[in-house]
Amino acid sequence: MTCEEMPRVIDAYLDGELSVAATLRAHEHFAACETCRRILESEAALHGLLVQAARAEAVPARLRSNVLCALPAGEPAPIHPARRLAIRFGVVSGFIGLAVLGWLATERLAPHPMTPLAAELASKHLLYGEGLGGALELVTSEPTQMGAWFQGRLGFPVRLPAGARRPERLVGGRISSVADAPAAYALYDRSGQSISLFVTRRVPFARRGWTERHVDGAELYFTSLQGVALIWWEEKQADRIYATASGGDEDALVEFALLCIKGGQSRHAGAALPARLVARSLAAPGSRRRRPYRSGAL
Amino acid sequence: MTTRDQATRDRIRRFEADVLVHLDDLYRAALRLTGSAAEAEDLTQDTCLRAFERLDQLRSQAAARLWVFTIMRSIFLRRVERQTRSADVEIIDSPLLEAGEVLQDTYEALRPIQETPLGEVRAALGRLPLAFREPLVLAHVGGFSYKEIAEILTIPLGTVMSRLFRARRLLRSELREPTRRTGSTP
Repeated sequence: MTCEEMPRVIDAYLDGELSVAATLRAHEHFAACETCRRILESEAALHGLLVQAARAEAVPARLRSNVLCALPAGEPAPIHPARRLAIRFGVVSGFIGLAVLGWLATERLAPHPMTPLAAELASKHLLYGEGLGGALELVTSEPTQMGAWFQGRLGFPVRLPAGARRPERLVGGRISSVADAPAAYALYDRSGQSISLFVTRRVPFARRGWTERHVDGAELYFTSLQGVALIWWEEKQADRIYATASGGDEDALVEFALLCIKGGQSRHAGAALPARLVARSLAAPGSRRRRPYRSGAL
Repeated sequence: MTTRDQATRDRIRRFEADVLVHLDDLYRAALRLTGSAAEAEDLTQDTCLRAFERLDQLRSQAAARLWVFTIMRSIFLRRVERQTRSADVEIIDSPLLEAGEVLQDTYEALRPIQETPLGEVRAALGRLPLAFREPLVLAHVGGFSYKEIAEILTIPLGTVMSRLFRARRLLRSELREPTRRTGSTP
């Protein structure tokens, strides 16, 4: 083994990737060559530093419990073999009729014990909402400043509710992700209760397992998970979805959603919501029962 | 208790035994990849949720570590690709040493490398291009072999060796040039 071979050998030697025979040859060379031995010592120090730098890092104590809390309650439903075959056939043949039937079966009939979107939103609400602001990148109570910050980071406008007489107060925000797409995350505080607001691009099959209700002219989708109430709606012109989450009262969350939709022009806190116009469950028969929306004073 | 309840409990137990045992290292690797504690928590949590959803695909407990790190890398890469069009993932797979590059001179630093504060090492690691940072993180945080790193990154074994070698050279160069140090990572 020569000094010229050493650059390739030292890394593999320290990474434990050399064969026994090559390791013995390397030992012989290091014993005889002071220059290569010095290089080996310095490289070993660098390897040690890298391990120390990475492993000395403290892991947040709440991480494990957050992960466990976010796990869906039910086991994913298995796909029936016949349906899988039908789907495959539809893809191969390209028959539009079969594709439509497949979509109907997927969207309307298949059981959805949990939705990935709900699990993700609930877990991120618990992650960022805890401690009111610990995970935020920008702390501000100014929606205009927060919106400009989001625009600069994400490249799309984010409409944040503003209302001087509202009980919800903006705490700040951060860049997050929803369904692996970049998302704006804003945290609001309503009398000590955290309210999360996510804004991202439209998520495929987002409606599965959610309950659709029309409130005050707005089409909202509801569900709850791990004690977290969740609502989302579309901003169709911008091809975005807005989602909000809170561990508190669902009615207050509805009010907040409407405030977001109307950009701060919603009714004042305490005013009554109009009666429900339509409520249609998209959940599978036998799954989570739809709770009728309560209208009345908030 | 119904059969379904029992199945869910069994699934969570398996998830804890096979996946959650790697949680600390997943978080540490995520931290070094993203450079931000908040993003690292986010990435780790998403990785665990994805792993739970796909737990049926896990062949054995022995394969779990490689499997879950592969999931994390896939989620991380998708985010990077979506967030930046011009990639930091510019690949430079040149030979181990360029012509005229002298290995020995990099060891003549004024300060012995082992005295470098860990914060400086983390910051320098954070400044490395992603193509070099990834194999380093997988080797030193994940403790993976070259073959496993090649599998996770879906690159040839020789490329893993080449990138690790150049990553360490770059890192050493970063540590020797304090004027290039800007900002810091956790």
